[in-house]
Parts: sequence; structure tokens; C-alpha cells
Amino acid sequence: MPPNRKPYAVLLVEDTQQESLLRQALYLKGWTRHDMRIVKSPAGAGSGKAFVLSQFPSELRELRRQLRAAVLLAVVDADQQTTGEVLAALKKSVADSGQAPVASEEPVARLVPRRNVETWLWFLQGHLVNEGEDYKNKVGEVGCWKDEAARWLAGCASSFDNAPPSLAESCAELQRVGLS
Amino acid sequence: MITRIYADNYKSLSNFTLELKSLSLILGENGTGKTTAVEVVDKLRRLVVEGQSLGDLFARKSCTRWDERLQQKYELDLTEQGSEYRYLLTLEFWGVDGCRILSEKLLLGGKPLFEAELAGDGDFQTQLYRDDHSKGPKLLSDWERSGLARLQARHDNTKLVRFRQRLNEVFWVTVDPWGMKGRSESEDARPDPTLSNWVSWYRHVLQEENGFFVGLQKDVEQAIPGFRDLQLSKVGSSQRDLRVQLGSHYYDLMELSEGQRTLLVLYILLHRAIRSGQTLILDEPENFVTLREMQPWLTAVQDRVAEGAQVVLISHHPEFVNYLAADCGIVFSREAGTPARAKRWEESESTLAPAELMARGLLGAAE
Repeated sequence: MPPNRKPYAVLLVEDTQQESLLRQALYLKGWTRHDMRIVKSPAGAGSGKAFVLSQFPSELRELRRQLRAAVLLAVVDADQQTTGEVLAALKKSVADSGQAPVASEEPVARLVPRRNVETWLWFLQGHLVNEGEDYKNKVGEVGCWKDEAARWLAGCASSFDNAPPSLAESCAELQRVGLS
Repeated sequence: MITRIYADNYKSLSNFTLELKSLSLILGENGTGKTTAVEVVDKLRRLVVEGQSLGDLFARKSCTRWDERLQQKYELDLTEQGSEYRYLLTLEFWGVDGCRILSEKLLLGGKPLFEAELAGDGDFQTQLYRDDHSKGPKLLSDWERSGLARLQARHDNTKLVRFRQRLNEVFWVTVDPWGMKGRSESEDARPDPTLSNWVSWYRHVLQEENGFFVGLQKDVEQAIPGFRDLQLSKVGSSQRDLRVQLGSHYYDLMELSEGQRTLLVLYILLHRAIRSGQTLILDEPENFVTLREMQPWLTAVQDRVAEGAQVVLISHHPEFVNYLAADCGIVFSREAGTPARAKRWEESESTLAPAELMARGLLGAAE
């Protein structure tokens, strides 16, 4: 791998909002468009969670083949579940595929915005949030989210005041893939 | 941004409406009217901005085959900096090969900025309005050309002029690497629809914008391995040949592969025709492009759209379809001998990817 070339990033996401935020964070950390592959649920809203859960084991298996330096970032909105429940579902999908659980040293980030990524975006736009509420209507259409990504990374680098717990927890996951 | 196109009695379009978003993917079987719908925009642009004659743009045989009417209607809705414009055109074919405007109007927020109509006495009269929608001069006009195209910019018709300027920022192109010319005879301010003159256009852009190449270079270096430079070599008093540096060698444009030429053009379009306040309509951009290069270009387009550009893509490719259909797909359909229809991609309970649904003939089918 050429010096300074980032490991290939696979972004496994439910929708374009998640994709945009994650992509911008990667750009800020030196990834280019050609250093990543977005695997996005193609079937629209509502089925994204099932898509990510079903695809996660395949992508993990591919990462473990170590054909090249790579990182895997998976995003699943918690919706009505807790972060723990979603992580347990991801863990189960890996176990059901016959693979060993994700080890702490593996470059895999499991990001679980609660209630959804719009909660994070609304917070990163400077508002207080409650993880029980849905902020989709407030955030609106898909945006570029460059500023939001910058605040996310900055918050993880220093500290987040009043951050929703799921966002605060994301920092450790970002660290595993070299984003924090 | 163009928000709506309407056409009636034009080819396969009968009382047809197409609503567009900032990013739209048009898909559908062959012959369903996809290109027909978007070419309407370019014809209206050429009429209203370039002042081309009606007869050069609209032919009698473009009337819908099974419709005996000799009138066609077109409408275009466009939003610009919060203002909502509506342009309406009714034209009529008469005699052997005559074509004339029956009515041409431009409204802003529902109020008139321009009205031209064929009166009962046979005169074609234009009523101008000022920016405050008060009536301005009335004059006799030429029914073969748009009156909007000929109006001079004045202090009291800035809104009309702004509509025309915004319409001039609409580009409709198809990438044809075999039709490209590596030699430029002069600068061209616009790319032609097949991009055969893109080198002349690129030459013009370089003159207009200092530093254009710097932004472009970074993207092209990642897309075309070994890419270093684009040079316009002087071969005559006004002629320039485009030469491309790959590694340590320079090549003529036509020595590059079709895919390399296509990628070059896609990134030039990205940097020059996909900006805030512009609309790019691009027909099948994925031809000749490797799978690996499609998504990086699409994500760049997406980011530009988030910054205010508008892009309309027509594509059959699974990579484009799977990436965009759920968010912004518009499905065209048509039975033989019937009008084209367009509707938004609908979510379904199917877990098949959109491209797989297309391949099975289940395009956006509601259950």
C-alpha cells in the first residue's frame, strides 16, 4: 500500500443520510472517494435495518479475508430499540453465519444512532436532543453534512457536552477504524 | 431548479407531467419516453434563450401519432432563489409546414411577467410587464420566435431576465466518446448535446476561470491512473489540440480509450456544469465507465447537489439504479401506441435490489 494511502473503507448503511455523514467524516480524515465503497440498502426506507443486519456478516467475512487493508463501518438506526439490542442483533447475525464475534482489535465500527441518525445530525447542528424523539422532520432532506461530521470528529477528539449517549458511544467505535 | 416539465401532444407525451427534484434518476424500458421528456427542456431553452425559430425546433411530425390535434402545449416550472416561475407555450402547426406560437407566457408566483398571444384579428401581440407586474409596453411580435429571447435587459425587467439566465444554465448532454474531437477550432461557450465540441468548451472554460484545472486535476488523477495534465497545444492561429499527460508521456485525446475519454468529460462536467444554480441532464453517463469508477463519480454528484446543483440522470445501469432509485427514481412506462407515464419509484415489500426488479420487468411496481 502506498504511504499515506488509507485502508479501503466499506460503509454499510441503511440510507443516504447515514452515508453522507459517514462519508464526510472519512473525507475529513483523509479518505478519498476512491478509497471507499458504499453498500447502501437499495430498497428504500423501512427495510434498511434488515439489509444492514443481513449484509454485515458477509462484509465481515470479506474484511477477514485480508485481501487488502480495510475497515468496515456499519450503521444501524436503533429506532424503537436500545443500542444494546441492536448490537446484540448484529452479534447474533455474525454468530448465525458461523463466524467468531467481532474482536476489539478488529477495524470494525458498529454505529447505532438512537433514535436514528437524524438525532445525531440535529444535535451536531447545535440543538439539544432526546433519544426518544424522532428528528427526521427537523433535519429534512439529505444534506452534505460536512460541518456536522467535523463537529462529530471534534467532539470525539475532545469531549461532547450534552451529547446523546449513542453519539458519545460512537467515539470508541470510530477509534477502532482510525477515525478518532 | 426545474421542478416540473409538462408536454401535451409531443411524440409519446400526452398531457404528461414530469416532476423533478434536485437529484432525479429516470429509468424505464427502451422507448418509454425518457429522452423525449428531457429534450423538451433543451428545446424550450433554445427557443427562449438562444432565440431559435420555432420551425427549427418543433416539427409537425413530432405531434403524437394517434392525436389529430395540431396544437402542442409545453410548460416549465423553475424555482430560482425562492422565486417560482412558470413558462407556458402553446404552438400550432398550420398549412403545409408552418409552425407558429399561439400563446407564450411567463409567470412569477402566478403573476405575469410576459404575455404574447395570437389575437383574433391575426395580430400576434406581446404585453410586457415590469418587475412589479404592472403593465409595460404592448407590441406586435413575430410568432415564429420567442419574444422572451429578444428582450433587452432593463432595470425594470430583472426578474424576466433572471429566468432566462437560469434557463441558460441548463445543460442536456450525452457522452459519445467516438464523436469527440480532439482539435478545437475556436472556443465554445456551451457544450453541444453530444459533447463533440467539449475541447472547445473546455478551452472557453479555462479562459473564463482561473484555477479551473487545479480542482479538476485532483479528481481526474484519482479516476484515471497516471493522469497528470491536460494541455491545449497550438497547431494553428486559432486551432488547439488537446493532449493528455499520462505518466511521463503526452497523448492525443483520441489515443485514450473510450472509458478514459468518458471519465475526463464526466469530471469536467462535474466541475463546470454541476454547480449551484445549474441543471445538468445527462443521458446514460455510465457507458464505457468501469464499475469501480461509477460510485465515486455519483457520490461527487450527490455532494454537488447538496450544495445547490440539480442533476437529472437517465440510466439503466445497476450501479446507478441500486444507488439512486429508492431516493429519487422516476419510472417511465408505456404500452405500444399509448402515452408515456412517469411515476416516482415506490417502496415495496420486495427485498430484491431495484436493478433486479428492473431485470424482471417489475420496475417500481406497486403491489
